[in-house]
This record gives sequence, structure tokens and C-alpha cells, in this order.
Amino acid sequence: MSEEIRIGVYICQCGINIAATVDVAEVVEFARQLPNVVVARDYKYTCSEPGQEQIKHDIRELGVNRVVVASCTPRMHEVTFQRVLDEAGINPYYFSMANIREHVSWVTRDKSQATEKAKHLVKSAVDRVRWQEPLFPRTERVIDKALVVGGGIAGIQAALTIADAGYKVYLVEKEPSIGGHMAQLNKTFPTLDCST
Amino acid sequence: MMDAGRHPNIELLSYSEVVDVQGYVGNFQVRVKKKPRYIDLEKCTGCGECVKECPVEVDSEFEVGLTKRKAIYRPFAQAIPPAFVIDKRPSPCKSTCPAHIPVQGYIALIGQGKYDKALALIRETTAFVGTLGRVCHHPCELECKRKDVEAPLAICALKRFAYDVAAPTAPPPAPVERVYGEKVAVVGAGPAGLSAAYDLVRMGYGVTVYEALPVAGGMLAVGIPAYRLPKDVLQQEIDYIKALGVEIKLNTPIGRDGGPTLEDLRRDYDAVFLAVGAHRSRQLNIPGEDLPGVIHSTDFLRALNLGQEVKIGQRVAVIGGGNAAIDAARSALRLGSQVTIVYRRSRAEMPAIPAEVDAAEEEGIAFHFLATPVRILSKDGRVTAMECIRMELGEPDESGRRRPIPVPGSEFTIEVDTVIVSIGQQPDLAPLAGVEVTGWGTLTADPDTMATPVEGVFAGGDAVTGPASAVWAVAAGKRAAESIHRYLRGLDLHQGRVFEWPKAADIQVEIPAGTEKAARREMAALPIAERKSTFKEVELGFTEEEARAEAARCLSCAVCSECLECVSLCEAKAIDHNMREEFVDLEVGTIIVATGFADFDPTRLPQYSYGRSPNILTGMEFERLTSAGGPTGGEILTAEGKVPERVAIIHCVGSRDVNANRHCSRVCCMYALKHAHLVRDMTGAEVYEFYMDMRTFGKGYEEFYERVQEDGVIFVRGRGTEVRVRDDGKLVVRAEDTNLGRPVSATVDMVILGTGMEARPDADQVARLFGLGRTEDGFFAEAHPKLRPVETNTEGVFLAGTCQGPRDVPDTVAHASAAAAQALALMSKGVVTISPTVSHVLTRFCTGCGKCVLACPYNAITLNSDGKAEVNAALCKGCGTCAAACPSDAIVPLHFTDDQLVAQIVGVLQ
Amino acid sequence: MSGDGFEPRIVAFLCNWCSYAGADTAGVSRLELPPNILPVRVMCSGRVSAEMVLKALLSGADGVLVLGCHIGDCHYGSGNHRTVKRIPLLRRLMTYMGIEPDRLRLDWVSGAEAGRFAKITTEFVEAVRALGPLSLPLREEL
Repeated sequence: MSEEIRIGVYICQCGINIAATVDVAEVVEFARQLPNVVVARDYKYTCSEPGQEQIKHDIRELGVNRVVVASCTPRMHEVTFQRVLDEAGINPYYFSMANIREHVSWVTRDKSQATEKAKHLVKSAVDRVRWQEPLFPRTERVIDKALVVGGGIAGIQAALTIADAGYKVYLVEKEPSIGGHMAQLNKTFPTLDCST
Repeated sequence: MMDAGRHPNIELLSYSEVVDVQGYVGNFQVRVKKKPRYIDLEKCTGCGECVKECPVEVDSEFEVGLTKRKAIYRPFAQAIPPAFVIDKRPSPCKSTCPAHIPVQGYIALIGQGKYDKALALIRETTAFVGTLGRVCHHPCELECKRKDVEAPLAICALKRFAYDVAAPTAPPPAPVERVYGEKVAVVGAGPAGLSAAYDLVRMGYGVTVYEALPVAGGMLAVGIPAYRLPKDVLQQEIDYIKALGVEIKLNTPIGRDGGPTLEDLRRDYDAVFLAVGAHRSRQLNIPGEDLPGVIHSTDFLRALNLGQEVKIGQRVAVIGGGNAAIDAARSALRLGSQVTIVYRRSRAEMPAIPAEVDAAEEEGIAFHFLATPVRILSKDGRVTAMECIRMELGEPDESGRRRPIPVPGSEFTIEVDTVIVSIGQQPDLAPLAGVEVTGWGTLTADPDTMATPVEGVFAGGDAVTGPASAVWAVAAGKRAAESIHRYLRGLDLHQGRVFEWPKAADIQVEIPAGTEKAARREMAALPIAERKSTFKEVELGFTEEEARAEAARCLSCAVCSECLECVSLCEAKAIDHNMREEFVDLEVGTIIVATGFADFDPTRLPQYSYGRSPNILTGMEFERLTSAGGPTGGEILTAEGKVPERVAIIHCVGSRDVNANRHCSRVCCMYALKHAHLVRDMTGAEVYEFYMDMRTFGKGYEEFYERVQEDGVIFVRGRGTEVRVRDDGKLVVRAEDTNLGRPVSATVDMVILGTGMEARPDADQVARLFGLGRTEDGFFAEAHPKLRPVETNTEGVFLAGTCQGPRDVPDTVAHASAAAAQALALMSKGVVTISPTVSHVLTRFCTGCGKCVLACPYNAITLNSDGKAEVNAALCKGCGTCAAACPSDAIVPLHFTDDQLVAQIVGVLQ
Repeated sequence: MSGDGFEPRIVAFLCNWCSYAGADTAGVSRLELPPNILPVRVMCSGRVSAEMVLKALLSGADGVLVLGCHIGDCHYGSGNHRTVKRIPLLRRLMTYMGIEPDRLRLDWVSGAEAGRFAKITTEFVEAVRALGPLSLPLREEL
């Protein structure tokens, strides 16, 4: 890859969730010094609309082509930010995330220790993103049949909803009859009407 | 519910379980096991006639144990599908029986006084009812679950009872009509040969049995003495087989003395079953063995049984520890001799039936254990004594029994004038030209199908196994008959047959609560003095009263006893007791897991005394009590049938409790209010409601709470801590009233425990099957507690209802609708984006070692024709295990490459 | 990582489905964790190769923690079965290299087990602290 690597680093304050324990400004300053980093910023909620817009803006205006967000767990917003890259015309796999909320600010009392750890995680994400490569998802057809496991009230409701929409449903019930616990109930609150 | 049952787009697979899930979002392959219902859903009209004669009753699951149901049942009146089902489980007795006689079935019929039907049911499996009822070594009894209560059932004696009481008056059977043109020759009229003949003739084949001896019955006729098996019992059973159309040619040996040869039989018949038994006695190989006073037990017992004159001396030694040795000894005793049994191991290792050994001892037979003869001494050509040597037991041999080793210098002499040798028998195979013989001198035959290497020739019984028990011979004959039928019809000998039944130890049986001890009945026996001079039967059988009392001890392990009473009652012919489980393979794009919850079992919190009074009810039990379809027809009554005057309801039983479940079950407050309202409304009883917090979180719920307050229910704020059952049956509930700040108590007639919801006990297996996570409370984990409430870690798999956490009916319906919407969104879009984070092979580095192939949990990697690894991207889920296994860094999990991770590791440390 | 005493640096390999989620749950539960733990996310503990562990030790880590799903709960079915076999081998290799094997620990944390995550990490930090800094002649050569 001959293209110059230009990394944008975005440190999220998450309101006070991160900012109360991590010195966000210090982390930003630290990130700015890292190789290939062309911009480092913090923002109150990076996942918010303005936060996302800032990233898109930097991609367009500053030529950022790799993005690191330090915020909450990637299990929450990794997909959100990947979509931001995609919308801005960058491959979504040029994105890396540092979890400085669940793994830092929420579990560390000492502010200097938290800030130090956040820097390590940001550096780690920046170093990683430098090695990341563009990847392209593929699409597959979806079989237009559903399996519902369990024939209680939830399974019956789900099966009927899908079946009414015109799709085939296999409803698998372990017991000899569907109905589950619901069939055993006499009257249900608050209206005291019949359950079946 | 009914809509789901008849919706054209819904295929209901009831009584079924998902056993395997493969594939990925949009493209799942699912295997479903359909458990045998034993009732044809298409034919069953739901009339319920079948239930009438079913002898088995167990607790009704639907009525949470408040009423009983039969083994054939419909869970509840409005069940979907409306068909009945038979609750059939493996039972230790039937599974252990080599012939798999439906033990529980005939015991249930005996218990109901249906002795004719009991006999007929056993005869479905074997003709030797009275015979096996006397001589069987009954391995079933060793495994009978009742032994865990006090003692196993007297199964064998009950079988004999069915015969003794019903056979003499049963009409002789009509000959079976020939269905097939083929004829089968059976060689040997022992229990194996006659069992095969019995099954084959009933299938509609022509059967001829060739027997060398002048009597039919094999060892049953010439090996077992009359005091154990009276001649007329055996003869009646053989006559029964003959009446069906089996031809028995006596005095017709095969391959010798002018009889037809095996070749002749193969030519004249379409199949041959060799069941020649093991009648040749093994030699001692010691000096003096050829003396005239030394005889073999087989010869001795045969002569005795054929009514020939037998001369033995006054002092008889019997060598051996098997049933034949005991039979010979007890017979010699009855001829007036003093008898000593000499056996080289100890009593514990004797292969004979222990009860027979006991009987021999009672009758006055002496035993020399741990001794073996070394030579037989004589004077003037007559036996005078036997020199023996003492043995000690060493390491176990291949039979699993400890090997006897002679003790040097321990020789001793017993004075005897007759020695009966009974140390084992072998088949006499010399006349059967062309058969294959094993190193043990037995016939070679497949242990499952009984097929020999010779086309169209099958073999079984003692001739194949060496000397064994009668029931094993019966089992072999039955197997051979099925194989011969398949052979003659051109069917596969193995397909669909069950050769290995579950081991008794693997069969889980719960002893019903409240099972009281009841002593096992033993049959009366002939007085010992009388036994010594007669061959009259020793055991006298059960009286009717004894038999029924004994039958009543059966725990009905299998639930369905297979008495087949339902089959004759079903006019729609919908019942098939031979139904097997089936597997159905489905291809689906989305999966919704809606496996529900489990009710908390309050026996885990003994302070509530649940189970110690029938008037302490769970929420669900009370639910059934108020239902018009329930056990009281909807009346709220105590177990004594009275309208309660005071009722207590305790909230949070098993919920919000560190000793049970910490979570709030959400529904209990509201159902407790409902119960309180119903009690007030229907009985006017005083209601005390013990609650911690009243959680009326839903729409209209607080209004309902207000209404119940107006009903006059007495609310006590504080956890109900204890329920005590008073001697007069009243129940005392204690609690801490946190408003008053002091303990309070109430004496009531009925307590309703507000039992909560918890994860199902099989949630871990379900989680593994569908790749689900679980939260600390055991319920399945949603992908995000707020934003993705129905999605899971496995794309394309969604959660609906209480399997994800406790919720009430409206919330369950909403959650299920959401899951359906997610599934519909995927299906209506029609395509799904598959993550590109899969593994990729750098072909130039790949050495084709195959380590990645073994490491991959999805079988997504194969070695291609160039010997290089290749990843099937559709199967790969990107775990990266392959990369860690690769010795040459040739396989790269995209987005988690070595370079990327190393940069991350080094980066985090700097 | 202030203070007078030695503060070990620990690389914790966390699998995406169980232990990373467990660490998240610890965060959501606001449990206090030692700041010495530096998490590296992998999809499965089966991805953690010998090379990764050694790289961490040679790059300045005083200890390496590998946390996966409980056996039987692996999101990928059997990925962690590999880890179970690999780690003891690695510990032997470390002994051979002159590194205390107790600087490497394998354990299981489910997505729900926040408390367990806190307990294991705290214990491990204390254990490595007791072992002192990892001094390696090899480390300088790298």
C-alpha cells in the first residue's frame, strides 16, 4: 500500500462517564504525538450525530483514511462507527476502537492511573489500525423459512406473526401439545379473561 | 393456540426436539428429532376410548401432580394437536431381559386380574411361559428398580403364575395361515430352535424342526430335572407351538445315523437355522476318568429324564459349579444317594442360580469349595475314592472370575463310589459338514443377526454361545427368525433393528414419592423331607392373592407397560407400539428460540414446608385449582374437600432471595393479587398477603391492585419467612411485618406460595445448540439489554419470551412480536451481509500439514488437490483458532492477523 | 501506574463472546479493577498462539492472562479446547526459557461473571507482583 497513512483519533468523553475519571485532554494531546496521526479530538458524545459528522468531515477535509475511536466497548458501537467510515467512503475495516469506558473509566478510581491506561489502549489501537486492511463483506441469500423452537405463548405468537406475513414456519415443541405454561393458566390479570 | 395448529404456513412438529444446528445467518441446517408418539396423528380421532383399560397411572404434568393421568393420554382437553400420546420409557426389566419380554405389561395385567391377557401378552414374545417362569435365571430381577425400595419384584414367579392360572383353560390355538411359500428347516428342538420356529410360523412360513432325540425340548427336556420343570408343562408349551403348524421330526439327527445332511436341508428348504445345542460333556482329563463309576451330568440327566434306568452309588461326588452340576446333584439326592459337590472356585463364583445352590444346601448336599479332583481311585475296576487338591484364587481370568490356582501339597481324598462330571458342555458339530467352527468349538455366527458364513444358514443358542441359560436361547431363536424373514424377503439384515438395548444402569427411573415398603413374596415350597424322595416340583407357585400383591409392587418404570389393551380399544387403528424416533432435516433462514421458563421448585426452600401438607400450593397448583377444567372443577377447596376459611399468600418464593434466585420474577405480585381476588370472590375466606414490595408495573395493574385492596384482602408488608404444619393440619405462617416492625403470624387452612420463574434446567444445552450466551440468572442473553432485546450473539437467532427473562403474558407477546419482526426483516430483505472476517490461506507458505483442518471447529478448512489448505468462507466464522495452530503462519484470520495483533500487543505495552 | 512499589504490566487476551463481555459487565457493574490489566480482544481464546504470548512477554509484559469461555460454552463450540492444550505446553516452554510459568494463566470467564473477572485479574496482578519484574536477556535483543 503506497498511500500515506493518515489517522484520525477521537476520544469520547461520554458525558462524564469517561471524562470524570480520564483526563481526556491529556489523552488527546498524547494521541496527537503518535506517528501518522493527523488529527486528534475529543467530544462529549462521539457516537452522537455531531460526533459522527466530525469524523466524516475530517475524512473529507483532512484526508483522514484510518480512524480510531476511544470510547465505550466495541460490542456497543463498533458497527456504528464502521458505518460512518462506509458513508464517508472509507473501507469500514480501517477502523479500530479503544474501550476506555468499561475497561478504564468505570473500573479505575485513580484519575492518573485511568489516564495512563487510556493512553496505552489508544496507542494500541493506533498501532493496530496502521496494519488494518480493507475487507469487503459478501452477501448471501436468506432462506425464506423460519424455525420457532418452543410452542408456548411466545413461540405461538412469533410463529403466527411470521406465518401471517406469508413465510413458512416450522414450530418445534418438545411436549406432545403446544400451549406451554400459558395453557395451564386460568385467568390472566389484569382483565381476568381466559388465557386460551 | 388453535390458529397455530391449523395455519397453512405453520408446520407443527410436536413431541420433537432440535438436536443439531449448522450453518449461518440466512442459511441454517437444523436437525429435529421426532420422538415416537406411538399414535398416528393422522388417524387418531381423539375419542379417548384407548384410555379406559390402561393399567398405568402417573401424575399429570398438566395438573401439576394434583391429578393422575394414564400412560396413554392427552395432556389436556384442548391440546394441539388433539391426538393422544403414549408415555413410553425404557424399563430396566424389559431392557435387561435377553428376549425383551414386556415384563411390566404382564405384571400390570396380573395386577388387574387379567390373567388370560397376561399369558397372551407373554406369548406375543415367547411360547415358553410356564417354562421360563420356572427355569429362567431372571437377570431382570437383578435390575428391577424396586430393589432400591426394598427388594426386586418376583418377576419370574409372576410369569409362572400367568401360565399356571391361565394356560390350562386357554383354548388351543388355531393353526396359523401360511402367508409365504418359503419353508425353513430348524435343526434342534431346544428353546432356540423352537423359539425361531414359533416366530417364523406366526409370520406365515412353513417350518420343520429336526430333532435327534426321541423328545422335543432340548436341554429343557433332557437337561433340567422334573422337580424344577415338570414334564407336562414343557410338553404343553411344545404342543402349543405344534398346534400353530410347526412340524417336529423326532429321532432325526442331521448328518449322521442315516438322517438328512445339512446339504440336503439347504437344497430342500429356503433357509436353515442350526440350533443343535451343546450336549457333549467336557472331559476332566485326569487318571481314572474312564472308570465305569464315572459318568457325565448330561448323560445322567438325559437318561433320568428319558425314564431310562440309571445306576449310581451311595456316595456321589459331583464335579462342577454350574446349573447342570446342581441339577445332577439334586437328582442324585432324590435317587437316595449322599451327594457332595466339588467346585474349584468359591461359592461366590458359582455360575449356578444362587437360589438353586441354596435349595441344594437345604436338601442336605455337601459342598467342597476351592477343590478340584486330580485322580479317581479304584479297586477291582470300581470307583472307591477321589483324590482332590485344594485351590486358592488368583487374578481374574478372561471370564472376569478369579482364576483358581492349586495349593501344592494340599491333596486330600474323598471316599465315593460314583463321580458325576459336570464341568461344561460343547456342541457336537462334526456331523454338520461345511459350517465354520470357532476356536471354542462353537458355530461361527454373527452375534446380532445369527447369520453364518454359509448362505441361507443361520445359527444360534448354545451351539453358538456355548452352554447358556434358556432365555438366551429364546432370544437367539427370535433374532434368527427375524433375520431369516428379512433374508427370505430380500431385506437388509441390520437396518432399523435394535441389537443393543439401554443398560439398566443408564436408565433413569425416579421412585414415585410416597412409595411405601412392601415385602417381596416368595413362593411356597415342598417340605424338605418330601423333596428327598420325589421328583415332584419343589416350588409351588403363587396364590392369586400373592400374585396380585406382588404385581402391585411394580413401580411402572416404563410408564407404558405395553400390555396392548389400548390397541384393541382403538377403532381408528391409530396405535403403533413399534413406532421409532425419526429425524427431520430442515433448512431455515432464521431461528426464534422461545423455550420458556421453569417454575421454581419450593422444596428447595424447606422453611415453606412444601410437600408436607397438601394444602401448601404453588402458584401454578392454585391456578389449576381455580380452573373449570382442573381437579376440583374450578372450586377452591382444601385437600380435605372443604372451603377454606383463611388463606395466606406468600410473595417472592424463590425470587429476590440470595438462597434461591436473586432476580425478581415479575409476574408473582400480579398473579398473587389475582389469586387473592379469586379466593375472596369465590369463597369469602380471609386472605393474608405477605409481600416485600408490591410491583404493579404494567398498564392497568395498579388499578387492579386497588380493586383487590377493596376486596378486603389483608396486606402484610414483609417476607413470609416460614410455614409450619400443625398436628391438626392447620398451617401457621410467620413473617416480619416491616411496617409494624415486629414478627406476626397467621393460622390458615391453605397457603399459596408465590413461586417464581427461573431458567429451564436444560438451558445450558439449548444455549450450546444455538450458540447463545446466558446472563447470571441463567436466562439466555440478549445482544444488548436496551438496544437489541431479541437479538443474540449468533446472527439470525432471536429470543422470544421468558427464555430471555421473566415476563408476563402481555410483555411476552410483545417480545415475541419483536422477535418475529426481526426474523421477518431478515427474510423480507432476502439477502444478508456476511462478515468478511474469515480466515485466508497464504498458499505459498502452506505446507499442507493439516493442523488447521483439525483445529477448525466448523470443518470449514479442507486440503485441496494441491495439498494446500482451503477455507470455505461460508462455513468459516472467524474464530482464528486455525491461525494459532498453523506452524508456518500460512493461514490468516482477516481483521485479526498476526501483524495486527502484534502491533496491538506491542502498542499497549509501550 | 503510580506508587512506590513495582506495578506489573499484564496483557489480558479476552475472547469477544465471554471474557471480553465479562470485562464489560465488570465495567457496567462499576467494579474496581487493577489498572495493570491491558486487554487485547480476540474473537476466541483459540486464536492466542504461542507467538502472541511470547511477543507480549518479550515486549514488556510481566504476565499474560488468557481468558476464554467456560469449556462447553465456547461460541465456536470447541475453540477453547485448543487453548486448554496449548497453554500448559507454553508454560513448559517458558520454564525452559527461564521465565516463571506462573506469569501465564489461563482461566474462564463468562459474559455474566463480572465478579469472577475482577477476582481473577486482581489475583493475577498480585501473583505477578510477587514474582517481580520480568527481566529477560532476550528482551533486549528484540
